[in-house]
Amino acid sequence: MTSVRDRHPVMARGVGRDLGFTLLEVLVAFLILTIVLTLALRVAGSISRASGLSSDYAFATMQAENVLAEAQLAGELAPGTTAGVADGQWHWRRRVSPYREPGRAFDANPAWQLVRIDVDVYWSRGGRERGLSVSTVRLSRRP
Amino acid sequence: MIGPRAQSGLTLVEMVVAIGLLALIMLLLYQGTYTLSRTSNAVESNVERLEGLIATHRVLRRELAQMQPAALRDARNAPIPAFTGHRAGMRWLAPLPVHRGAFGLHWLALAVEGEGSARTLILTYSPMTRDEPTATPSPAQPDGRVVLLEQVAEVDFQFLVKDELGRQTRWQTDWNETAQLPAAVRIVVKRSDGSAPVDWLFPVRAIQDAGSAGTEGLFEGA
Repeated sequence: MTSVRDRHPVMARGVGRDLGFTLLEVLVAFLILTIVLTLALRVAGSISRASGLSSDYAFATMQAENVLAEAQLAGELAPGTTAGVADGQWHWRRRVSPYREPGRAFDANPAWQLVRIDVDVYWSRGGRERGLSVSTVRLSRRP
Repeated sequence: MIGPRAQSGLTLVEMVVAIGLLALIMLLLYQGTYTLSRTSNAVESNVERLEGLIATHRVLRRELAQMQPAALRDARNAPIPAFTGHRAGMRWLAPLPVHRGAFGLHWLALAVEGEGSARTLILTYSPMTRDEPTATPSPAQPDGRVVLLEQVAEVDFQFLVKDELGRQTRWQTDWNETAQLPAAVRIVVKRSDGSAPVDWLFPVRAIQDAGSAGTEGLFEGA
């Protein structure tokens, strides 16, 4: 008479009369669980990092807009580069250069000129350097 | 007599190993799910906070850039400031975006409400009526009320003074002038969750500024 044990491949491999899992099976299941958990935790970690990164970019954008606003408030925009650090974290660099479009009538204006403002904001997180740039063209009095 | 070997069952060592393994698995599962749920909560609240900050920045930048200078006078013909500000709030006149369902100029006010760590930054608005433009809205009954930021510890307002030549001179914490608008508003938001404070610089009337502050000669060459 054949029992369930004899027909069932897994159970037939068992230690003998005992119905149940072998140590090997338990270890394999355990291993699979560990792998799945590790993967899930790694995904969670990368999600959390991505969220921090998006927050960084949002703050850096606000910082860049502050730097642009400062340039606008200064009134006269002399060509050149200024740099600084905000909150000890956001390094910024602002370049002001004359903006020329040859053939445009505005270039001939005696009192006003167009200037191009480039703002770079860069910061480091987790040992990696990141940055973003914004540019705009503004009106400024000729010096 | 039946000896121990003849009994079918688990030995003590097998039992201990099984329970130990089970405990280890449970511990691992618990820690895993705990970390996962904590991460998910943290990410969610982080995204929420960030969205609030970005939306607030956008709204304030637009509404302050469109600030209106208005020569308002009350019943006794005394001028009324179109902009007033102090350390903890400000009130100004600006058009609201169309999607709010209301055209025309509105009185907008920013203030911090609440106590302790549950403070919020509130924007209130009421339409400026044509027949009674001087009727500044009572803060208790505004037409609309928007919670801009939650979990606010402190909000500082500063206002930039400009001289006739358009040069910035100094920042001050109170503004009651009737004839002039500030050149810029600086808002520093300290949040009660311990995250870094937010420092915003908003140019006032940014759109019109290029065409208002001494534009002689601007269109001659064109």
